[in-house]
Amino acid sequence: MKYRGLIIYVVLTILVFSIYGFVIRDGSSGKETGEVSGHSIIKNKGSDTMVNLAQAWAEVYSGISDTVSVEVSGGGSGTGVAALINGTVDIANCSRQIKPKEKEEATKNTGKEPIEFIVGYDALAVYVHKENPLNKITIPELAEIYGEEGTITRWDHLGIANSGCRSDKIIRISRQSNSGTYFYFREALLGKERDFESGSLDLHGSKDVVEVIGRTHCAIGYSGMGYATDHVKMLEVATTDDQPYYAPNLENVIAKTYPIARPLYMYSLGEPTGEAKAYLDWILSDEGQKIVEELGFVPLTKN
Amino acid sequence: MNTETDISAQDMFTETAIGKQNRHIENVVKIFFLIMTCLMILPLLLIIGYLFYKALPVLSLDFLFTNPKDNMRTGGVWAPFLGTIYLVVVSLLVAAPIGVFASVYLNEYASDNWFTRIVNLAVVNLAGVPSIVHALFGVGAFVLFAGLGESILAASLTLAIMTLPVIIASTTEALKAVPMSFREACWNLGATRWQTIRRIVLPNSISGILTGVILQVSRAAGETAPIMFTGAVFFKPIAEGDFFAYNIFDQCMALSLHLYTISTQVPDVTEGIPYGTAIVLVGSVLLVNAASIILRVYLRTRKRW
Amino acid sequence: MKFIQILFSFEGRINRSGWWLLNLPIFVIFTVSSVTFDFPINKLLEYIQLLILLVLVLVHITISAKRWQDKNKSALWLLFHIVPLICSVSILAVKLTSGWWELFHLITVINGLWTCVELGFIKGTEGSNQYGPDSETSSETVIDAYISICGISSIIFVFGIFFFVFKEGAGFLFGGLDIWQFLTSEEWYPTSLENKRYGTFALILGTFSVTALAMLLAVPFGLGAAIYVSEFCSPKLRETFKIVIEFLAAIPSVVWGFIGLTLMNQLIIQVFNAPIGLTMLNGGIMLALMSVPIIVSIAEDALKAVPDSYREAAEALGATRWQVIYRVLLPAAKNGLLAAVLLGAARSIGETMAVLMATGHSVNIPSGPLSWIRTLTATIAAELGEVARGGEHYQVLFIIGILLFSITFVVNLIADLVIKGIRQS
Repeated sequence: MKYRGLIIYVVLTILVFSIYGFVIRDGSSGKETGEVSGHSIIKNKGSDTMVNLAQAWAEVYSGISDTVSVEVSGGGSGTGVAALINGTVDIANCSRQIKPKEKEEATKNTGKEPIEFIVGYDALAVYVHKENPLNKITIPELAEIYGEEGTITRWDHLGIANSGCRSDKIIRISRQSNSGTYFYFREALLGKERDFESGSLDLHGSKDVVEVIGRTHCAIGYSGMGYATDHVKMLEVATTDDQPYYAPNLENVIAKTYPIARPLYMYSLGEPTGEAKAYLDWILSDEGQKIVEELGFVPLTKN
Repeated sequence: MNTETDISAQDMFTETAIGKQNRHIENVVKIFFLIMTCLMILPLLLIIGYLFYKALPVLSLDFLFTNPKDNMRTGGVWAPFLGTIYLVVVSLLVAAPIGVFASVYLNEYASDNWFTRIVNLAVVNLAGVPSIVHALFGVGAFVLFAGLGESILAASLTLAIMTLPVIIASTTEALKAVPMSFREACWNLGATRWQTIRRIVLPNSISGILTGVILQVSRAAGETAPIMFTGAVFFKPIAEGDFFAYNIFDQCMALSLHLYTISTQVPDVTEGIPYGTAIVLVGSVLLVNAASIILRVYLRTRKRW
Repeated sequence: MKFIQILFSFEGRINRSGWWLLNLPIFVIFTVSSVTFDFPINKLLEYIQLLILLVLVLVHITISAKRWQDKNKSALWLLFHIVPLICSVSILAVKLTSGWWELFHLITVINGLWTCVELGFIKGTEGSNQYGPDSETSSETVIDAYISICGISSIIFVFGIFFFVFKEGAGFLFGGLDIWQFLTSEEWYPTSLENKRYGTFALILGTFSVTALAMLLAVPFGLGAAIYVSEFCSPKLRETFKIVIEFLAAIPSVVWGFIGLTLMNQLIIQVFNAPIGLTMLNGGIMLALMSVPIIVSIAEDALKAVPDSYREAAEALGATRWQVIYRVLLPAAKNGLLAAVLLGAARSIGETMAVLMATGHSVNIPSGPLSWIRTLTATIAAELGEVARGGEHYQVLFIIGILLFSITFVVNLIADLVIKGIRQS
């Protein structure tokens, strides 16, 4: 126990000097943000729809470049745009186009204009339980199901006998109210004036939606077409009832006949440079786009 | 009156009908409450058993030391596991000294006046603040105001404040267990207040304090809401097996958030993986708790007074 | 010596541990600032930060001066501190060629090392010297001050929490939010393009209904278990039960949510033939399991606090155990039991992850245990990540935070008063 005091002092000195050295290094190594001992970090944030895609890119890219690590967070398109406005990300993922007002704010806040990249396409599929007899649906019908004071609340309003669903009430599965998917689906169905009826199950993830529908005979919901499982069925969709119905698949999205498909965006603050540019270039290359297709989205190259 | 005062010895030791009935009721009551207690314990066993059963196909040491792979569908939990360790350690470094000192203040320094009562009330209320409000606080104070950004540091500080009452409560208990006569003896020898605390009070309550610290670790490891917006990310690749892979000014993955994301947002996850993640989380939390319980029992057996 | 004198006076002496105790935090604060200094947060904050750093430099200088005096040397030795300062400034300000840079760096490090050894490790003169009396216990003033600061930190944190949550939400709370609508409208349309409505009535109702359901399940079992553990158990069995209850309390809320999402979801679908298992009942069961440990431990404490003489007196009168419990213990411990229930309820109200994952997360006026609902906490957790900072929606979420804070504050306050009530009587 005689040496305890000595040991404490030695530990403290080491602590102080490591801090001291750190301050010196920090002062001398310049102010390149995210530069930690030759290892750079690309902060990538945004859309939940794209988070798996972004994660897949990040994972493959970490095998290609060993000096770059890509930090991916989800949270929703709003998060990505918010982070862009606050200048805290390098690349924001967005499943909707950035609003002019947001662009303005970002430019004002950070002094750099957000630059847009379309990195793939996503079709929003309308899902029902696999034993549901319904096979196709029109946009106005969907609007009446989801919209405020909608007239379709039971499956027999759609003219089908959903025997698995005893109460016959349609259970609407939706997404939390500020996900890009929610925004896009609302606009595609209802335009800008009408809101969704409240009382839907607002689930937190694209996967959650599909899983819940897979267990629920009464449910209808929407999610990216890449999320399909064996327990659910994707409906064919038509713009109006005198138009042809199209299934959500690669061909129809590329041919732009499937009505609820949208581009997926990535935004960088100002023209991307250095590692961020290399990363975006790689994403847009054939190799990056192959991953898009693997994950059930629609790649750019075939467009 | 006569009959009552006239009880013979025999009557006193034979059971009356009413006594029999009472004993019967008592047994029924006892069994009733026992069942209630068991109904509380049963879920714990069921849940752990269920999680473990479902997780069995993926559980191995490799699961702990590999990163999530193939869009987090396969692989292990290395990155989130290490992230949780970082968050817990940093929050511990902050919360332990503050918590222990705070309770030393409340027990050894503060006199019993209105101010002390307010401090005590503040501790109680701090313990009652919902975790999501702590998250809001973390965003407002550490991420935005202090300019730490979303980082391990910001998340850990939020966790530290959230778990502070845990340490204060158990340290207070430990300090109270040190008999007053110990302190008085020390003061009579001319020791100052701090010397008394340093040489007598703290050494005699160290196990109790450690129990509190360990409980803090278990609480901090399991929390999700406070770190969701202050520092945890969906995915971040790090080197496998490298214990220094994170920088505290960067973000990290965390076990609890990882469990949330793979069970709600990632499609086609191998079935056992969410359960495996849950088992790793529950397992580490319960192990840490078990350590605190063992410590407590040990403390009781070697108590010197 | 007073703490203020130690911080700002050049008179007197201080010992080595006092020097370290003050200097280490200064080093840490400087390091953290050097990392966060670049962030353009806001001008005022930058000035405050600068001011704090200057004060800290001053403290560093005064205590170093006291250390020199402790060794019976003049404070003028402090001038050596200027050397690394000049070096650092010139490293930062002037673009040095590499040879000079290395040299200046070396000088800084050697100087720092030397002052550190000189001030941090070499003992002062024993007994009094020309600068003051013996400094043996001077560090205790610093320790006492630290302990007091930590002691009142809880107050600071509680106010801090309120302040920062309030600060983020205040703009909209006083500028535009219709508070009546906020509390009584069931229309929660924060992202509507045309007609944004922030009514939290359905959410408040959701929070309270799921809490009520949880209490309905948890209170009988919790109190029953508390009675069993405190009145019927052998000491050994009691220890075992308490350990199990502690384990139950330790399971993280996200794991409960996960159980609700997977196991309980399927169970409810099968048992009740419900279309969907993510319901108020599901969340209520999860919350009950989470709050039962609190109820048990506090209720047990309350029962134990009833003096044994009460039990003995009742038993001597021929009461059965059940009569003792029902007629004597429960009335005597009723305040403590009430506090147990209140604290359990507070826990349920504040719970986030479990209800986010298990209740269906749907803005609904609850119509029964099988309806799906959304709570205040879950709304914040689901939506905070996605809102632009400073916007109306963002501020409304913080206002919900204030609401939650106030609710739990009041419940905790009442519980505390109830417990205090027993202690005094």
